[in-house]
Amino acid sequence: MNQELTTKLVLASVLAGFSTIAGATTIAAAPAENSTAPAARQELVVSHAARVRIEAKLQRAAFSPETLEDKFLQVSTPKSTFIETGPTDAEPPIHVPLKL
Amino acid sequence: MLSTTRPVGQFVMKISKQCNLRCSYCYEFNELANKQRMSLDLISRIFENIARHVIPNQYEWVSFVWHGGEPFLIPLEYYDSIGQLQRAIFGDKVAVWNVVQTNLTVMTERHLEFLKSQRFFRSVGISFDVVGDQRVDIQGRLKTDVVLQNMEKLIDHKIPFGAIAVLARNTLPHIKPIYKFYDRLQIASRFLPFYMDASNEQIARHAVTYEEQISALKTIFEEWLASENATPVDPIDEYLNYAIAHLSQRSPQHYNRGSDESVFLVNLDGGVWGQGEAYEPELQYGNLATDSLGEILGSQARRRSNEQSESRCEQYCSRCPFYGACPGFFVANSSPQQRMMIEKSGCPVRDVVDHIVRTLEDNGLTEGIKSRAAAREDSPLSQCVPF
Repeated sequence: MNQELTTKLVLASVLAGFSTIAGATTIAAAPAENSTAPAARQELVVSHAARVRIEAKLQRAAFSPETLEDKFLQVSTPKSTFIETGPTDAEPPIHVPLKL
Repeated sequence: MLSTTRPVGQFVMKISKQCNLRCSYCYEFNELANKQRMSLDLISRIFENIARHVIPNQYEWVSFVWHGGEPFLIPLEYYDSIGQLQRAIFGDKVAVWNVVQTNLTVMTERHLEFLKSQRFFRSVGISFDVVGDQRVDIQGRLKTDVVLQNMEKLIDHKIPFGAIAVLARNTLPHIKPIYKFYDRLQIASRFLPFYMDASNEQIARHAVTYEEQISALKTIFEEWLASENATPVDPIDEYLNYAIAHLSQRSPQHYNRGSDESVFLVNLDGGVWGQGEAYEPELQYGNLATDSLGEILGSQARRRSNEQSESRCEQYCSRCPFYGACPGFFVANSSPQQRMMIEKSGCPVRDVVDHIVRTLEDNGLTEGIKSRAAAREDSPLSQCVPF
């Protein structure tokens, strides 16, 4: 299956999914949570991919000489006001502007 | 203050307000029929006034985010001419990046080749909510299908892009499918809460409450956590960094706009604002058509704006348990709408980071943090005494 067709099928299937999903998911206008109150224990599904990404952040936080500037740059400027992503280092970075 | 190496600068260039869409939540809504564009002469003066400051001050790079309106209503040849100006004015003295933020309704073969060549734009951001009724043209026709087709073209041509979805009243019920859409395609995205307005009517129609915003962001975090792709999504990725910095007990670091600000909005006539304060007359820093960036950074209006920013951080951040892990960027750069929300209900970042911290703890994801923090304290480097 060529890449173009695969892409089209993915988009088509995702879009088709929306016709059944849209409107079914409702976020309640929940009351404000009091962050100082004892919280109910909340156990969620944590995927392998999320664990890997959290682990990578932990590694950087613990051992790299990352400064706040590095951290700030990750969210506020092109290496930074933009986020970089991709499941592997081999993939090109993707940038998402911060605001505006 | 953030530790610094070499300064950087990012300029959001309002090259034209003209747009082929009429999204009723757009903060430029009243200007979308304005066909005026920045002239090449004006753009040249803007570049020169930036270069006069960034070159002698050895900026590491400057970037220009070409923004509108819809930037692809401008002919591609215009961007080639702008590139020639950049090469003439900045030369190899400072690195220059160009980025485009588009509604992705205009994407011909020429656009695809232009983007793929990267001869001007190095990066692409699209604005697309995926669901909802906002992305309509002047006749009110929904353009979702066109955007999806053009998204396929970008993917087929291997042109990477990121996406912004607005978190507003109409998208609020659909945040899960919106995140899943981008996550499934592994497209990095940002949920941008409706934060700037063109009228009170817009606020009444599109604004979400503090509680709704918090609830939505928590939901996105949980979707991300459960996803087998876990495609990064902002602001969650940013807030996760804050949560980990908090749990790791990293040394506190605080954003100070006076010394750390690097993002500026440049309006159609060259007028300059900090982000979040766009178009507030009393807070206009200056005009890059006539003033150098150095003069703008030292302007009275900017000093006034920075004082207000510092005052807000003192009032709302100084007693926050996460201040230091969170540098206070949200409060320091808040828009009028965000300021009203902070005054009325508090800082939404605090609630979301609190939720992330508790979720990491409740799910056994903090053990690594604690052991690494202990290892760091045992490290010989931690015994060093600063001069």
